[in-house]
Amino acid sequence: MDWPMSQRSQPADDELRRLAEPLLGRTAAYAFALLGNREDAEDAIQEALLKAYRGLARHDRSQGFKAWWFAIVRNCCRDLHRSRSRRAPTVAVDAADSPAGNQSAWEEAERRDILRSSIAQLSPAHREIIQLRYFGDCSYQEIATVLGIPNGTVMSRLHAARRALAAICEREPR
Amino acid sequence: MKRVDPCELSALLDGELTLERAAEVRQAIADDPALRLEYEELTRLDDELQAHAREAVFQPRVEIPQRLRGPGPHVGWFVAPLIIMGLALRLLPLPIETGVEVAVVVGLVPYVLRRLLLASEQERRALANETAASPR
Repeated sequence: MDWPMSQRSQPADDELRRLAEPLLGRTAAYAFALLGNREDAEDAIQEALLKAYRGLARHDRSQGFKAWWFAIVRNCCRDLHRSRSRRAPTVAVDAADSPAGNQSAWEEAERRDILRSSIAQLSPAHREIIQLRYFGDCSYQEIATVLGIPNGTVMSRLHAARRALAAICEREPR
Repeated sequence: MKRVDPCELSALLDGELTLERAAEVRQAIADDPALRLEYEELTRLDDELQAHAREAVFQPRVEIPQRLRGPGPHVGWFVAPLIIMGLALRLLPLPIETGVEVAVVVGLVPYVLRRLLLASEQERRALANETAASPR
C-alpha cells in the first residue's frame, strides 16, 4: 500500500486508520499464526498500533506502509511470545475444528490439521516466510522489507519452504 | 529461452514474474512433464494454504489510537495583552523601543503559560488514553 503525497499532512490517527484498518483481518491471521492464540494476537496488534501511531511521523514512507506495519507486528508478536514463553501453550479451537457430521467436512478438517501441524514442523525461516506470504498476504517486495533480505532470496526461500511443507504433509499420518 | 529455475515456478504461482518471463515459464511447463508435475503439486499446496489462511482471518478487537485534539492557545492570548499594553504605553512617557519590548514580553507571558498548561493537560490525557488501550 502506498502513501499518497496528498495524505501526508493528515493527523496521525486518521492516517493510521486509513492505512491499517483494511489490513487488520490479515494482520490478525498473521499474528494468530505466530502466537497460536487469538487473545495474544489481539494484544500484539494493539501494541503494534500504538507503536505505529508513535512512529508514523518518523517513518520512511518510500518503503510502503504494509511492509512497515508487518515488521512492527512481527516484532510485537516476538516480544509478546518471549514475555509469555513460560505460560502453558493454549490450543486454538474454533468452530471449524469441530465439523458437524458430514464426511467431506471431516476430511477437510483433517487436512487442515495436517497442514497446521506441518507448518509447525517447518524450520523457523521457512515457517516465517510461509506465514508472511499466506497469512499476511504479503508480496515478495513486502516480505523482503519485513525480513531484511533481497527479493531473490524471498523467491528461493519461499520455494524451498513450499517443497519442505509438501514433503512434511506427505509424511504426516492420515 | 533462458533455462527455468524451479524457484520460478513459485514466482509464477505468486504472480511475481514479468509478463515476458511468465510466458516463457508457462511454455516450459507445457513442454516439460516433470516441470508440469511440480507446478501442479505447488498449485495444489498453494490452494490449500490460501484456503487455510483465509479461514484464519478475523477482525481483531483492537482500538486505533486516537489523537487528542485539545484546543491550542488562541491567538487572542497573545494579541489582547499586546493591544492593551500598546494603548497603555501611548499614555506613558516611554521611548518607543522600550515600549515595544515591554509589550511583546507582557503579551508573550500569558501565551506561553497557556501553552504549557495545555501541553501538560494533553500529556496527562494521552497517558490515560494509552493506559486504557494497552494490552490486557
